[in-house]
Amino acid sequence: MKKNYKLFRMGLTLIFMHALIPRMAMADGITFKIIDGAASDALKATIERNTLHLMESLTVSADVGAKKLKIDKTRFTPEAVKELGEIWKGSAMTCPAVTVRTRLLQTRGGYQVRGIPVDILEADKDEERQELTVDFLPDGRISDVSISMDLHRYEEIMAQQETPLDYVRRQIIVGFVEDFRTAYNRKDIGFLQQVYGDKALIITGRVVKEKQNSDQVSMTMANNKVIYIRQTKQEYLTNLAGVFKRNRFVNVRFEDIEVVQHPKFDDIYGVTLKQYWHAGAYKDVGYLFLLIDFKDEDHPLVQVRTWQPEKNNIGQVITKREDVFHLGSFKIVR
Amino acid sequence: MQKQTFILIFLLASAVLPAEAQNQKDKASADQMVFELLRDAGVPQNYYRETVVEPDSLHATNEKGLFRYGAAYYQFPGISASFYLKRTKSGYGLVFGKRYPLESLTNLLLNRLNRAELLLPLAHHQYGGRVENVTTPLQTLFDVLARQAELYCDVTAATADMLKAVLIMHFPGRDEIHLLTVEVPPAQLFAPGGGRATHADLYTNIPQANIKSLFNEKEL
Repeated sequence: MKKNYKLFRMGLTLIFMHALIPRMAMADGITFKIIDGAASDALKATIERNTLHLMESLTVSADVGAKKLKIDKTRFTPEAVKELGEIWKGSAMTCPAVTVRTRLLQTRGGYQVRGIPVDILEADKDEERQELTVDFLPDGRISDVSISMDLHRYEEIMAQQETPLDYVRRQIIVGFVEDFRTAYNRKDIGFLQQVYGDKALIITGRVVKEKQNSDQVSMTMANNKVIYIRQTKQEYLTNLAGVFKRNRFVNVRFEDIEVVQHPKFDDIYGVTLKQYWHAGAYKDVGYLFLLIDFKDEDHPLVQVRTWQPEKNNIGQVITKREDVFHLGSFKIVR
Repeated sequence: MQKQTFILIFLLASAVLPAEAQNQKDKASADQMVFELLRDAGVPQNYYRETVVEPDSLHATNEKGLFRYGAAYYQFPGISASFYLKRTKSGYGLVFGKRYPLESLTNLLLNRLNRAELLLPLAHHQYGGRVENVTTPLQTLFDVLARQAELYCDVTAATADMLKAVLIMHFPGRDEIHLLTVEVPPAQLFAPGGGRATHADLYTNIPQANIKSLFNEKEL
């Protein structure tokens, strides 16, 4: 019974081969030669035979309009058979009658051949010609088949997209600014110590009431003058630590955040925002400008911090947004 | 009496403490919570977004039979919720295959495919410059982080050796995003059973409501 079954299978195989032979003739003119890179003549011959079989099978199956690709599965790994089946589901393809002479490339898992021309029947005319990349196990069986990426097509897609190149970095900056705000609310002097550059320039505006008959130039209306106090990192943080100590809670809120890249230094950004400060019984609203150095992306540094009050104590505007310090206000020396 | 004193103290505390300090998580604790969710996640549920094709939302591409679906985007047209479909004999199918690495990665990151086995060696950037590492399947990220999120993706580089992409998970209710960047070689994207990305960075709980502009007009 078992013997009969074997004979039956042999018979079927012969019938299949017979059916295929005249079709293979339609794939005439396809040749494939490896010119270099094979470890032995035997391997070279196996890879040549298997690749030629693939090229011819694609063409014959396409010519007869086969729904499933007809191949000799012993020349392929099961994964490669599955992959080919998926490719075939997308579109049938044929190999043009050409002689392919190519190098065998060594890969981590075996060998690879690139640049086998195929015509994708479902593609538009100008996209029809593509190239196959074929991987082989060390014994020469085909382990993977893929259509090489059409990089030109992707270049076009990406050129059409209107995402600025440093979009991600700017979102990371917004995240960093939120960290910075959180540090004040948490009274996290350690983190602030870490993010202010050692030579950070810290400028804080303060409203000073001018005497009525003063001959000093008043910078703003209602006899108010803003004076700017410059502090070093250590002076600022020491004062801040005192504020943290004196107040049970500190609540800082940021609004209207604007991010601008320095026109000359790609990794320097200016961030302008409106800050609402509330610590104990004290409250104020002002404009904060931060100059952030992203040279080390994992450890951004605040090199400049300026604060300017928005209004005086009777509610008159003394700093307009356009008067806030900005990137152009500071000379950067590297 | 003791109870009344407690209530009085509680009311006083409520009156003086800002909302964030009372009940909302700040970025530090929210970041930590995200990390713990990822680290402690078990086998993820196979959660993905159903695709129902409405012909009006199909946009032709340069390739016959290949369509971009949908037109929603986040902040810039390139950061898009559009995914890719291919016409089949019975309708339309989601694209995932070696011939279409950019389209496949887009579909994967937009949580359209019913398996997201790609393994991500994640560097999670948390409050205070802290970076913690965890290796997790992309599916876990969808399962534990992104169910309530609108997803937007931009493939920023596609070469024969490497694909790079950014995924924005936007939570409209609280107007915050998580941002994921991924680098994956095409061979790993299509590896049977799920390959491994080369690198992935995750930035979480980035507020969006208080942004006036990310780019001023002169810069664009």
